[in-house]
Amino acid sequence: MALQSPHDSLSQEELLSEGWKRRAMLSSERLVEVKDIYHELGLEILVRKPEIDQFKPECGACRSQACREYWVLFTRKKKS
Amino acid sequence: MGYAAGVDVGSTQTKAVIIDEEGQIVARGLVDTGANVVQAAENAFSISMEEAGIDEGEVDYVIGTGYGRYRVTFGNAQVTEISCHGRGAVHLFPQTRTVVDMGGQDTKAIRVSESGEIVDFCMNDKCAAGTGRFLGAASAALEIPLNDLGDTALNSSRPVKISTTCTVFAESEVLAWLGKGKKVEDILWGVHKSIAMRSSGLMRRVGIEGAITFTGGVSKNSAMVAALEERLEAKLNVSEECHYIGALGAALFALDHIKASRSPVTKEVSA
Repeated sequence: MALQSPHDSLSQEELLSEGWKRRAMLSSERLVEVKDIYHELGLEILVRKPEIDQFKPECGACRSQACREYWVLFTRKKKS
Repeated sequence: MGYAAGVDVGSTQTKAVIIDEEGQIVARGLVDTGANVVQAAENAFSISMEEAGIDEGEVDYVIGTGYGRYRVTFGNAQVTEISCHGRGAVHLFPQTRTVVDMGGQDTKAIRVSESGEIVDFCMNDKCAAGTGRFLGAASAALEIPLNDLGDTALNSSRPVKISTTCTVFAESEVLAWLGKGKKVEDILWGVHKSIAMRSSGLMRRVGIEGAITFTGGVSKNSAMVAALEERLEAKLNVSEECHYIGALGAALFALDHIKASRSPVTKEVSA
């Protein structure tokens, strides 16, 4: 069972206001590598599925595909 | 004398570099990656060994990098391509503090320390039109070989403005401009300027410091270099080796391993 994160219920705007930085939308295979590097840089990491309203209407069918297959990665400096 | 090697398995091409104990490049290998990633890694490595005039037994340590790094079956270890590009760029151009690596699928902006360690980095969104893939779409739409895009674009006098942020729409926008009677060179220069704009945005997100080195396959495109320099108002470090920088960085990490394994402390432990 996936662990619940205290950030799960927050919107992207709320995450940004809490100091998270949106880094990129990535495929699963890229996500593993990029997460490792940000981890090595000592950053806190949060991964979310994209929200469909973050895409433009003209993105059409790509919106639902991106929401299924991609991940949005956020980082934040660890609190000391 | 032993050698170290790096093999960078990219989405489009696979590169291999062999270096000597001084960190000097003695040979390179380059093949299209194609569908058989394992074979591509072996072929690139074989080409580099042939160029160096050595056999596999003389290469003491091999590191795989790139998206296919775990498919370098003869490799001893793997290092991420972001770390390898940082290390290779600083080795080739010691003043480098910012690296822009533009490949077939991804563009990455990397900020590095004096020793080539990663300070910060970011990359394009998966569906964004700021990578070599956008050039591939333009090449297909205009029926111009990928290698000729740069020189053609540099003949532009009135570039068009490419507004799409999406690779899927890129081809249709290029065709729409062609339908309006715009010259091929003006459309292509517009494509290069559009990619440069998005790449410079990534670089500003990590913070542009010191000298900027342009790496990856797209660094061979003269118009891309010109468009980025225009956008950043800065001269970029570019060389014939820039395509091999990921493999070079991997080879340098391999050389570190070889030297560490010969250090007095290690000998004491193993004695």
